[in-house]
Amino acid sequence: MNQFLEELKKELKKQNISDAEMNDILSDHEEMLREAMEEGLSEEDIRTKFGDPSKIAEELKASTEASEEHEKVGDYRLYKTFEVPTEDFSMTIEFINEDAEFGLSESGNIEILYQGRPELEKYTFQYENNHLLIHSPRNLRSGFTLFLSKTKSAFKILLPKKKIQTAVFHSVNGDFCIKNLNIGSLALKNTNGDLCIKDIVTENVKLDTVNGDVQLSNLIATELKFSTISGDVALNNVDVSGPFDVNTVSGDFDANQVRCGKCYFHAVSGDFDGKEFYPEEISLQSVSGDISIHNSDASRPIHVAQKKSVSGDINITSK
Amino acid sequence: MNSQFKRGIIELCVLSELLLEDMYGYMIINNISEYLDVNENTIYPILRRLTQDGYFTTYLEESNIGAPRKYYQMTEKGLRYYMSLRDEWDEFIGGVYQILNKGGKKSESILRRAQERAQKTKY
Repeated sequence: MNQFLEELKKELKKQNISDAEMNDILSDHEEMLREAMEEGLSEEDIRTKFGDPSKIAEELKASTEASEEHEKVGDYRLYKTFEVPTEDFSMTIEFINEDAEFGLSESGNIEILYQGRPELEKYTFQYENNHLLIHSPRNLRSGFTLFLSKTKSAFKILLPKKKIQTAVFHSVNGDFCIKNLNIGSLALKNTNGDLCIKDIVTENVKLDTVNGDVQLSNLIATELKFSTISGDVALNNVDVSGPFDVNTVSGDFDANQVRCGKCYFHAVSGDFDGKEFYPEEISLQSVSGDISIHNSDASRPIHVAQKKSVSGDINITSK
Repeated sequence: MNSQFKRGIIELCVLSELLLEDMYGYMIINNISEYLDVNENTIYPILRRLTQDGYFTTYLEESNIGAPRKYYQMTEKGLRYYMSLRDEWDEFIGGVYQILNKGGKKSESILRRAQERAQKTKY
């Protein structure tokens, strides 16, 4: 028993585990080894049952590393900051499974915070030539890790209150939340993750999703292009001065307080339901998808430019 | 077995053990190693990490072995984590079984046909 503890102590020291933690781990093992002896296990049985002490130390090191060295900020830990000396900047974000939130920083710098235990050293976090680049480790995820999405980690990326010329977001399974930013051109692709975009002033927006649900609120844009397969979309208080193009297979659109230029709705079976929805004109191309609009302002008629549908229809009521 | 995958399974087992009962470390290790071929050196680091992450709390209780035992108790956060992990596992393993059982569970005829096909190859 003592020999095991001695070895364990040596291995823990080798891994630079702090004294306090080491004492705790040793006392846990003392307790467990005592139980084993009480049970009548021989020295050899104990060896088999407890295994190699060096492995315990390695595993423990791997799990304490990330959490202890970075300052805690709320529920997150601060990993990195970048200064942004220029008036504007751009960014490209490529995540796989990570949830991510984007918002304004108080410090005026770019701040990268995380939750969970991402293998940070395998990520790219780079700020060069006024461009922020973040991407997840590639070729890390094997098929098995589908189940291991429990190792899901989250990031919070805080940005200075400056114009972001172009922002490109990619994800597969992560949920994204983008808030309070001024973005020139915003492009986003996501497969399964849900998306929330709020309080954004922008020019061109191009959103591509497959299954994820999307919530857009308080958005001002000059152009909005939206494409989804089966994700449902809710728009709330959205003002698009130019065209608003939608492509959906079965995803439904729900628009509340939305104004836009020409609206083109292309669907298979997805429906578009508008309340206080005022496009300059509207076109429908669908198999069975319908457009229905309920407005209160009858002095703003909606021009139907085109309707090509097998069984879908456009229904506009105003009172 | 892929060690990360294995770790995920052990994590689920540790959480599951503590669903209805507080337990001390040695007891958890005994219960799991009764069914799975894993050592203390795999289970303990997981137990410790789950505790650090707030999924378990611990308390000491006097025992008949001379020194107090450290008991692990699942927190509400731990329960939520267990439930999400369990869902993922069920979904994953359900998918695996759907693939394995394609064409029926009683696979005698399937195995025979596979054997015939395998004999046709040179290796």
